[in-house]
Amino acid sequence: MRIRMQWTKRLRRLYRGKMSARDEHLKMEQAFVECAGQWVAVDRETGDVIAARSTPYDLSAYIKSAGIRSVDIVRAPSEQEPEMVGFG
Amino acid sequence: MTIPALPWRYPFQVDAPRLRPILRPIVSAQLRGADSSTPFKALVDSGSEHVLAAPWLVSDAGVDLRNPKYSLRLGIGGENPLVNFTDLKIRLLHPQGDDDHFIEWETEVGFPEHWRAPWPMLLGQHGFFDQFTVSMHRAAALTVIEEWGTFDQRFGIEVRESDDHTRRNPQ
Repeated sequence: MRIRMQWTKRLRRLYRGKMSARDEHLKMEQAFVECAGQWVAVDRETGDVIAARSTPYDLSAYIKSAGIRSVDIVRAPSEQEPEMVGFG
Repeated sequence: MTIPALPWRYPFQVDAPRLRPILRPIVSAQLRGADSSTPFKALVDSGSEHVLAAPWLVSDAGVDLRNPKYSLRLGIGGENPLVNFTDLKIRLLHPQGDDDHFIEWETEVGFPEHWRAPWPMLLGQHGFFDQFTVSMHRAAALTVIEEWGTFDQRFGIEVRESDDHTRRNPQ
């Protein structure tokens, strides 16, 4: 218990004033609503959606041909699809 | 070129709107076969023994799966797909960095026949957790990647060297 409290205090010190995760979450949630079911390329730093396609093949081909860097691709899950709770 | 030193901090990724906010521990990664894949978001899954990747990454990264290292049937999402494993390089990309800011290592990557998850890769124990000290914190909504030996420095527990990648019972 003591170790846990010390670690939590240390985390709070480390991340105080540096947490931008909430802004990125709001941006991502909005992007997922707008692009539900599509594959999206997300700017690694800002969370902005740079491009969206219906398949990862199309999206990756576009990213590579356009020479776009510093983006990560992921599928925007739809509200209609069941929430994933585990692979196993 | 100077690569930012660890620790690297990755914000959790929010899911589609649900009953309450769903936050996923993800990192930025890239697969290296004959080609480099487009970077993607990978789910950090401490409950998985393996690193698994979506089938579309086979062509995207130029992976040759004609002679896999081995094949296993795994339990994934209530199904038992055949998963073909091969040795590949994975890059962990810096959370705010350019594509040239990465840490690369080689490990076994399995490719299931089917893939439904939003994340193109799942990073499990063998191949990811044996490379880094991985910390997650719900309130901070962060996954923090640190050097392998950091766990020892923090908790005074001597860690073994990284797992070797040799199967004990080849089939």
